[in-house]
Amino acid sequence: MLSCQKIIELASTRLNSSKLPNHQKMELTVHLWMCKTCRRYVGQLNSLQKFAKNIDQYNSKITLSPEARKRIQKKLG
Amino acid sequence: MTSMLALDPKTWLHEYGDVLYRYALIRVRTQDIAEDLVQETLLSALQGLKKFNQKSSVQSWLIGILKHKIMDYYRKSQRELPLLTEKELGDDLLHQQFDEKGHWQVSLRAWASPEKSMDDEQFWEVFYQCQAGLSDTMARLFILQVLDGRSTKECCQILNFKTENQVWIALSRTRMKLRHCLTAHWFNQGEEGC
Repeated sequence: MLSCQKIIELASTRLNSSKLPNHQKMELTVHLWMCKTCRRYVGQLNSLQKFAKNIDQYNSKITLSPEARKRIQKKLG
Repeated sequence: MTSMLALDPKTWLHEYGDVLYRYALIRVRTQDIAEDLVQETLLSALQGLKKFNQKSSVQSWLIGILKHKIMDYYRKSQRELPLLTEKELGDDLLHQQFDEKGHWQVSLRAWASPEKSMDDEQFWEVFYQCQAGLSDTMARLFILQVLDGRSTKECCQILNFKTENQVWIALSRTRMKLRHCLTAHWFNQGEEGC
């Protein structure tokens, strides 16, 4: 049996790779089914994933400073 | 008419400067460097105007150039970065959350409406701050894997990790840190207790 600490590592790996061996995928699934804390943690990792993927759309407040804009304009000629 | 307008490079700084800047800033986390990358991207675009394929939009073409510039910057600057230390990897946070046997020793509280928080500008400020608290290597790893969908192998090469397993462990710790930071500063605004 893998510890919760190891399980959350596997869950993180699974988010970016399908490379987990089958027995680990199985153990992960069973563990998450039984363990509420790990389930909650993994749910939050999924949210984190979503936040990251949306960040380019949501940071519209950030803009080039007028000075930087002027500087770049000059370089572009 | 539209394509002629789109191909007027004089308007590109005005039209796409901010988009490029945002894209760069989240990835390099330093204002000066992000500004330089925008400038280099627009200069390269001007010089390579003939290579522009009308089928793609100007914006995605420019972002494509910027992506290359960011990777070059990562490669160059990564050589000067130290290898990840235990502190950077968040060993202290790990030990706060798990006992020696790897069992949880804190109880995690649920996040209240995570989807909704994405509509809140302040949430993104917190997210940026949490990201700013990561070491360069961890922030880059998160970006490369999660935002840009790079393979583990590429991450190994770009960030000088020795094994793929090291990449996975570092990525898991990066998520742990971000999750903890968002919990403390946004979702629950306090520490999680036992």
